[in-house]
Amino acid sequence: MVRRPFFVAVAAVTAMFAAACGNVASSSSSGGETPPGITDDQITIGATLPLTGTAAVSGQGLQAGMKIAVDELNAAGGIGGRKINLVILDDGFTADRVVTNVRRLVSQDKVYAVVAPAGSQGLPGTWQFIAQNGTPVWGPISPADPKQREVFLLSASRATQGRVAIDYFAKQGITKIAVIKQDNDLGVSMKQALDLQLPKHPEMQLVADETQPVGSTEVSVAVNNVLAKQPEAVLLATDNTSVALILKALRAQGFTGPIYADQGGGGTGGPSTVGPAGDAAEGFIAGMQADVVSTDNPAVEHWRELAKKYDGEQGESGFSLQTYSFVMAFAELVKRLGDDLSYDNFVKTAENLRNDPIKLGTIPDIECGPLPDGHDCVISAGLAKYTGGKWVVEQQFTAPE
Amino acid sequence: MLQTIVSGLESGSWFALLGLAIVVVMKAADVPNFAMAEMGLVATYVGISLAAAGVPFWIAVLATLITGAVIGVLIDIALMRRLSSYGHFPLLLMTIGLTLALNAVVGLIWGHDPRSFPAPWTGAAVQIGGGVAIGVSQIVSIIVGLIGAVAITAFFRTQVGAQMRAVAENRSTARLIGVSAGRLSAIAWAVGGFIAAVTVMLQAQSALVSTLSPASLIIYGFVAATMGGFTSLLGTFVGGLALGVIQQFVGAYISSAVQFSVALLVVFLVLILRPEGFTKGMVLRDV
Amino acid sequence: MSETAQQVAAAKAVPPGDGPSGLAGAGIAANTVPGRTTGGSSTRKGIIAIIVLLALFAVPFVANTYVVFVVSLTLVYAVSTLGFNLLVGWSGQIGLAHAALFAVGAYGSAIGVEYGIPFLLTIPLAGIVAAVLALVIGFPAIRLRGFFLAIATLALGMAIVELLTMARPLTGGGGGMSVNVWSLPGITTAASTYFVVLAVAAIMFFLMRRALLGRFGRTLQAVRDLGQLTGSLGVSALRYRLVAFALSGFIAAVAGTLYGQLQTFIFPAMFQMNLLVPMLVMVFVGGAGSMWGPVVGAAFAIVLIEFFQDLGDQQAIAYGLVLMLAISVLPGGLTSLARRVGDSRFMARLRRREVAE
Repeated sequence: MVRRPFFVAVAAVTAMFAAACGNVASSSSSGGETPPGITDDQITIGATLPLTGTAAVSGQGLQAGMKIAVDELNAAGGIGGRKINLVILDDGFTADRVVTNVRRLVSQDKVYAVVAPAGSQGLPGTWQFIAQNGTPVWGPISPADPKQREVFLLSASRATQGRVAIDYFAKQGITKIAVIKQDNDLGVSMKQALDLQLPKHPEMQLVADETQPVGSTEVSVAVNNVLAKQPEAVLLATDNTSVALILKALRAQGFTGPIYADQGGGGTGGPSTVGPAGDAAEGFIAGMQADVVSTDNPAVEHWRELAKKYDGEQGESGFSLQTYSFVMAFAELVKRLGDDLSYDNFVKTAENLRNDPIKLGTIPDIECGPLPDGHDCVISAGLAKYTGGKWVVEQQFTAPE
Repeated sequence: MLQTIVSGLESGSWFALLGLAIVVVMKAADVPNFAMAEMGLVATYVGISLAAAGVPFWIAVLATLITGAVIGVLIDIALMRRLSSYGHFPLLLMTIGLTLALNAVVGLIWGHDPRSFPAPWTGAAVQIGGGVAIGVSQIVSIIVGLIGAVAITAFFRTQVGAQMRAVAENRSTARLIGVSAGRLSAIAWAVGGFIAAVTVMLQAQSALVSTLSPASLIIYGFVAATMGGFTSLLGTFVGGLALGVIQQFVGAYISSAVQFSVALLVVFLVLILRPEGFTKGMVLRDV
Repeated sequence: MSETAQQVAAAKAVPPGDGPSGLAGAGIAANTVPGRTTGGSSTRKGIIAIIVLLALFAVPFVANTYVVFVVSLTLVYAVSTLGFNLLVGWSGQIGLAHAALFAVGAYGSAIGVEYGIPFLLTIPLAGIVAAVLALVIGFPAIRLRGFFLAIATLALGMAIVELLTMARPLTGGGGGMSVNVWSLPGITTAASTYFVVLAVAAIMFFLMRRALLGRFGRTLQAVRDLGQLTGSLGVSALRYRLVAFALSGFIAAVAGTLYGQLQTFIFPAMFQMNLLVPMLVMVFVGGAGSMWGPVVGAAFAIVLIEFFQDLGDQQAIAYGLVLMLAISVLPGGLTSLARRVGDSRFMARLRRREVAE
């Protein structure tokens, strides 16, 4: 009685192996074959974004920029005659859903490329899978550079922004800096920036290095410890709420030196940080990945026109400009691929951008090169200052020393 | 040094008040309410919206407190009461589901950006000798915390409070002597929601609140409640204040990275050494 | 078998809603029925098990890697819930360190592999480490009951995650570490990981079924249901409670090792309340103390999330509301629905009619 199912099982397994081995057997993807997501009149791209959860504000901005760009491109006939089909999935700002979503985009929705995915700490969990499939990841939002064939970073990483800020402070003659960071990827990026840039300014000293607990509104410990060391400038690597609270606490205690945070923590161009900080935000300096601040840049004004008409949340935020630019750059690259849309040609053409950069005007020129370091395609960041109730450009896009 | 103590007492007052709210509900309704900070957040956001719409400050404050109490009663009647016969697990999970839902409602209505509840005294400071300044909002937090603790203790000395004690000790006996457990649990939830609203409002007039902030506040509230053994009001209050001060000193003199670990260590030690709370035996007539 | 049936009858004798208030102390006792054993020979069950296994085995041959991944994730959560359910459902102790012990498995395996231990060996090794940790965590169980135990174990679980953050040289700290994925030669990584997950899940469920439907499970329930009376049973009751902690920790970590293989990059913040809450939901949905509930719970939780994907802004609210509604309507979990329908007057009448005919 027990034997028969066993035989049935063996027979079934054997049959299945014979019939469908192709689905399971590992085939080294040569990259030369026709990539997925391409038909004669359509190209499918996708992203996973935190449309809900604690990072929903940024997620909605990122989504807005992609939709604005896709609508504009499709209205003009798409990319080389192919209309863009955009698939956006929500990850609720949780790591395991970022991983699940990227798998869904690649193996179920069959995207040609993953464009401008966010998800902060979750993205590194997708790199191994991406490497196995060869799907390009064009412009992921602010992860550390995995130095990988498929992944191209299009905006100054947090570490790069931090390095630019350290150079800027050094130029101002500041010699004593302090850091308040969170113990997560934000803190890791700040540490990288300090490790790379402090040796280049021997006169500069890190006098205090404090950790702010994630989610706590109690910032006085870190602030008091920093002030006790009497720094001339303070660099922050924390989320919006903490940046706003620390700004308030530092100013309330009479600190008058410059305070810096990156584009995410500072909410450059928007009110997400300076709004809650109130008067304490005067003179605050924040990193700038896309030029959302200036009012005389024609490329930015063109986006602003479109963003005003966008039907949805956060259309005019800095996040929107960022992904708008990434999609536009993607369209430009695909145009340059010509008829050969294979991933090999994608990578080759992208790595050749160093000789012929994509110049959009809204973000620094995109100049990808070969690995190991070439996929960090934008190595300059700007700095913006909040003064008199509005953001102004403090320093144009500059590469760190 | 003085600044460290005052900062510690300020955040300690928030922990203590939220701990008291947790203990009150725990005593009367036997539920560890993980949604307590979120209830306060909803009430506070209602107040912030009213104040932003031009409603006078004190009326907005009053509206916040009433909202907190009403939310508490609604939760008790609509969700909690019918589950009490099913044991601990569904009750615990219900408060967690409530936490998620309330947090999402706040995010949907008011967004995820941090907000403050500016009071007339926000930003003002009192100069103390030696260049030390203490914010008025810090003093307000500490004083309101004290008043809250005294008021709750007084409440438990009233007839209703005594009945609540009876219910907490033994439900069936309480029913025998003619106490309506339902009415009492509604009162407890109202008081709990009221105190939660006070707590988050104090946090919002001094710092910032957002959908992110309740998660850490509730943990510290539970730490405070644990220090009181989930029964002692005095133990909870003193525990919350001590927790705030300890954290500040650890941050200032050891490392700001281990503040949270120290709070966890406190819970562990209290539970291992004195699971009934550290005031047991000291205060016999305390509830 | 007959003893189990008797217990089923005993449990049913007290309808969940009408229990005396004293029953509340016994927790979930009222609504637990271990694997319904009406009719059906063990042979038939064996056949069903083999068919299910075969169907699961076939998944990677017919589905894309996304589906394979989701099924893998579901199985991993099912195993984890099996352990959680053992503690919460069968032994009646609300221990909330499960997400942290899951993390111990994920980190333990990843670190072990970095130090040259073969991956397959790290599965039981990480399990043993977590079992020992779980014993330490369970120690307050000697003195604490109900919610006190919940808070104590929650704090200890958080402490473990804090320690993982502080052990920077080993774990990469708050920034996280990447996991080396082990894979069978000749087949894709997704399929390979899936087969490992499936094999481990099958073994865990087989072993647990034997243990829980036997003397061990019955003793656990007896210890749980007697509540405060356990004192008179002496040390052995205590021992059973601690064994429940250790076993559930072991299973949590085993599931964690597989979770690491699926995520390929892990960091401490993944294993906090945001993971513990879905884990609790899975136990609840599956029905605390039921045998196959963990599979139902895990599948439901995963499917729910994927389903709510399209609700946009409303999904977080929807998740909370659905959970609240489910608890209100079915405090015994989703699997209790089937039971409830089975026990309803209508069904009873149907059955009687069948007998009459």
